[in-house]
Amino acid sequence: MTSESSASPCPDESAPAAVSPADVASEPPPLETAFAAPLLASEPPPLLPAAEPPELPPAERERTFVHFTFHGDAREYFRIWIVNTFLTLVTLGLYSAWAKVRKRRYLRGSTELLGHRFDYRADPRRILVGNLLVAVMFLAYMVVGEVYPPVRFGAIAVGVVLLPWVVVRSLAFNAHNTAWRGMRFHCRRTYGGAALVFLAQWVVIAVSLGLYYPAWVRNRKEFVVGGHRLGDAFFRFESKSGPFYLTYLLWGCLVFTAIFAGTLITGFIIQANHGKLPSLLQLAPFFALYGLALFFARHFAYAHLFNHIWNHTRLDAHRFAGTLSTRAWLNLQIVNLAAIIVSAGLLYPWAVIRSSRYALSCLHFEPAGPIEKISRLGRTDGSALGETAAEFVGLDFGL
Amino acid sequence: MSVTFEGTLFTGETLQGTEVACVAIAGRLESTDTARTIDVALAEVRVSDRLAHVPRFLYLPRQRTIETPDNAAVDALLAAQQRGDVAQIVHRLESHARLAAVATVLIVAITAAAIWWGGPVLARRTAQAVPADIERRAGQASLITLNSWLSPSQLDRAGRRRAQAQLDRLTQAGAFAGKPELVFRSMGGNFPNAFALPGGVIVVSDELVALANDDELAAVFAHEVAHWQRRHALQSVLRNSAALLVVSTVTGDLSTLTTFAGTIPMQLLQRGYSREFETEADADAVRLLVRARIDPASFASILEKLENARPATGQDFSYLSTHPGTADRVRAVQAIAKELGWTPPAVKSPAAQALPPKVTEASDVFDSTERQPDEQPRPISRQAPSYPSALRAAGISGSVTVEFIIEKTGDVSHVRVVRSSNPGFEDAAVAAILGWKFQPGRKQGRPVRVRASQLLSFDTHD
Repeated sequence: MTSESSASPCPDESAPAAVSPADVASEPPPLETAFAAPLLASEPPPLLPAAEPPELPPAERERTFVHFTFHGDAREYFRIWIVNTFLTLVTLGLYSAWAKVRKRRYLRGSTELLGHRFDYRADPRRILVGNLLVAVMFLAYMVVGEVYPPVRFGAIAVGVVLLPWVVVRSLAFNAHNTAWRGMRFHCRRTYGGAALVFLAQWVVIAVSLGLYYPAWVRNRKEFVVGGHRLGDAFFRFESKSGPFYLTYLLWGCLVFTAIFAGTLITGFIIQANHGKLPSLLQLAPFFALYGLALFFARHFAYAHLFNHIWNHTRLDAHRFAGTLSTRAWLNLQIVNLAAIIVSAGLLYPWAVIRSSRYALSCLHFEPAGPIEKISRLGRTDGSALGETAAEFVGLDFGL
Repeated sequence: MSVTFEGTLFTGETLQGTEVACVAIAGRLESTDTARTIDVALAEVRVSDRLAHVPRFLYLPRQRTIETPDNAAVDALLAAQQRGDVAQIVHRLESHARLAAVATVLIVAITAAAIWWGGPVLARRTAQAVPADIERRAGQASLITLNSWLSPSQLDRAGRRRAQAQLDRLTQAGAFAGKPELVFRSMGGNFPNAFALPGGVIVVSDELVALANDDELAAVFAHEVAHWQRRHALQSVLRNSAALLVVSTVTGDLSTLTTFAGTIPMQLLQRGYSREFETEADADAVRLLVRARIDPASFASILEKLENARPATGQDFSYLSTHPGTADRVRAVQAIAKELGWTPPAVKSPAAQALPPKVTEASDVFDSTERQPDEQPRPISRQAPSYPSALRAAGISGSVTVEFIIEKTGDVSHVRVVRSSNPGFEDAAVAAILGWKFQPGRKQGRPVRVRASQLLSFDTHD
């Protein structure tokens, strides 16, 4: 869809979409987002103030962490994955919504914090409506575009206009259907805010020849994280752009080294060929190298930013901490990649479980006080009225 | 019947949870903690589906939730309510390793089948949807690649005119739309070859023009025209690039094909078309030839010539290096010609007639006259031809003389009919001789290829 194409020219889906702890738990972004639309963005500082100021600067206290526990089992998840994939296949995709919910529910339901699991409550029928909506729009685009080609440009314009809406709805849907200790998460972001991050700032990136990109990643993180709340506790993400620039500087070095090496190899091949164009087969090392470098760079960016992002994420006065090792993560992912390739994709669920387990073992929660004090915000909270829009169409694009 | 289990109750007001003991009995669910009891109608309680060992959530009215790890109790509760059947089925599917294995095998099989069967179908449809303009551009792109590999033609004007005249005979028969264009190239003097690029460009090597007589040249062109008309080159490109196929099918944007057209020559030279494409093109070629009143036997004879002209060792970029199974093709071509009611000229055996001795004898074939092997091949197993039932019923007897090569393995190849009393016997004779097995002939102790001939009689009294 247009939304994807405009948002993802840079291979950065890996930067964790720090939606909620549950999300990190359930979907290790590099794996899942590889297949979903990466939507990312930022906004001015959080619109909603924290409910209560922290009592003490946490640095002066003894820091006590509680840990996330992941109970997922690769064999169990493989069975779920394979059966649901099969059902999706034989129902020509109609079952995909149910499959998605079951897989996600397994991953979230296997994530424990403070003795309780996360719950994913999405109604598959809503997701089916969302999928059908997208399918119908795409079909219309194709059919009409065939008859009257200029419509295609119009459709792209419509896609651009719809993009912020899709972002907002996806965030809201995902948060609304994630619950912990009987309370749903929420994500409230406005169309305007999303348009600022996902449209206006992309223009800035283009004008600055990509130099603004790391700052944009930060802004997107802030937009996503800052939009969330659990009851009356608001998520906040406060960070400067510096660390993002450092990460993407290293990222760029990696990618450009690979492109340079690949070009060099191709040059040698052309030389050995006496100036004839190399065949596709001879270009294979170049493509392999390039793909591998992008893969590495993506995971590098994710791992390198993981700790920084979580260390600067707060839930009111409660804090998070990340202790992920970039080297360990890259090792893990290279094994995952090899396993997925060798098994023709069948070991994908195993890779998901491994990634989730490791990422969650590196994520810690630091309560600033009794967490039980977090309570419902307002009377209508979570009632049908406020959520109908979010619930009606289950747009969910892997944020 | 009552169900009891323990869980944690959350009110939805705060994150505070309280441990509760739950009892489901008589359509009510009672949850009791140390202080009080919550009593709700079971009908108002929604329960999360069973999913492996993930704890269950009971959704009570007024946003209260009970979380419990006691899956068995919740299942019993659902069973009593007669709800959650579908989810239970899916759960059961998910919990058996053997079912997972079956699903895995089925998915792999479905995927493989989709690629194996669906890919070609999709490729054919997509190739046929390619607009003429894009097809022409793809052809030009592939010709550019080809030019970097082939040298300019050394053919004189008379030779070119002769070849062009043969193509014109086909075009004027009006059997197809569009006008093919002939392009001459040299292939280093070794490889008689011809191929069709998208857009109707037929590339023919000097070597082939030298090898083939007029009718044979027309036959090769007919075959190539058929490849072009059926867009086999485009189909091959699409078949070989799954990504391209998916992209162009889904988006309907076929212009990307041009980018990939550069790979066409490489493919044509190194791998050729699939057998299925060749069979299609053979059949079309025969139809075209009959339509243009050219003896389809010339197609068989050029195939034989080419087969014999193949270099024995080393790199082979000639026509047949990518066209396997000449004997089968010859038979198929003859069968189609017969089907179309082509009446062969009175003095038959065009194949034998067309064989110019200069190129036919590949250096490694021995025969029973000039180049004798030390040791003649001996038959190991022979079978009589099956008598064509129509001819037997009509009481017609006859005989067929076939010529063939006994390979070093002792198998029979390159079978061709030299003489026959009735065309109806030919297929049966060729089929029978292909099943024969020999002790191969030997020269200086090593097995060699030997040419041989055999008379097969069909007698109604047998």
